[in-house]
Amino acid sequence: MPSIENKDSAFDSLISMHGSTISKVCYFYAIDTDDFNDLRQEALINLWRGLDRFRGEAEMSTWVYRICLNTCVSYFRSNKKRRLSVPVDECPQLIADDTDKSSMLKEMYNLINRLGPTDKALILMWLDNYDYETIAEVMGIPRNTVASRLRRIKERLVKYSNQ
Amino acid sequence: MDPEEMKVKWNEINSRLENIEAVNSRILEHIKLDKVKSAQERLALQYKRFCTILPILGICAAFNAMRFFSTGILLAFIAFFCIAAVTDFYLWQGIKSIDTATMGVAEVVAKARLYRRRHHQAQILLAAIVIPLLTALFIYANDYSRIGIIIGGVIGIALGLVAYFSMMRNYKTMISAEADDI
Repeated sequence: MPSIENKDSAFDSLISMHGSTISKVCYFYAIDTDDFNDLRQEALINLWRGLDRFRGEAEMSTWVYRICLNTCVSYFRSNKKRRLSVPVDECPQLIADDTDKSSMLKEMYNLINRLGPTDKALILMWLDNYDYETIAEVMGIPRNTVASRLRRIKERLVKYSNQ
Repeated sequence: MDPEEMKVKWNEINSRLENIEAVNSRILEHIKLDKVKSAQERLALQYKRFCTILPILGICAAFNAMRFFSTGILLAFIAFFCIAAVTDFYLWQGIKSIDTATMGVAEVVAKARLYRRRHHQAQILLAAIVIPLLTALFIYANDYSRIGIIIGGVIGIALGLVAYFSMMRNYKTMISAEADDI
């Protein structure tokens, strides 16, 4: 087990290196900005708890991806009434100066959000250029299943896009 | 927008997401000091507390009510609390077994779904037991106790219905999102 100081600095460098991956995965699973902040905090707690057990068998980026996806798909939302919050696709920090880019981001968010949690995880990893073997390993499904499911997901995205 | 087009534009999203407000350093400090619990840990703790408290509560309540009710009703009363404790113990162990650092996403999705479903099933089962139990308590109680049962029953049913409809709303959202996944 790493010392406390080592764990602290390892965690800090993990966040500086992979902070955008954590935000990206949480963004695509969040309903609104409050939900996004809750999911990101949840992912960070799980990363902190899991850091002791990271042995370096996988790439750090893949390990971070796995924990973020698992956190988002298993997130047990509380039943408390949510405050009136900004929908995550209208988050001011994400809206580009360029209207086309903003609408593109919104369109992509809406398209991906029509998928279920597992399919969303598959397409996010594919968009991030992970190879089929890595996706299969993170998802815990055979490589051939990854290929066939991705093909079906892409067909569905085209269909949704044309609706 | 087709998927290949999406992939080309993905970099734009990456650069946009880098603009998102950095994680609050106070939150990071709290995480490092283990002061913050995850939703999964909080839920597991909640089930753990219930499965410890419920049998004690059941026995204490039955002991208090010994003078008023027959042994059969009291045993049914204790059994109700024990069934609730067993279901909470099962859910506590199940939620605790979800390991985000080592399990595959498909396994985590399956487990999260299973325990959400089991939670709802346990609620339905316990509601089905509590209704005849309360009816029996009401029938065999004296007038003084009946007032207490009516007040407690009305409050309990109102709270139960609010919780039930809130959960069913969440359950419906979950099912519609997952329908595509299967």
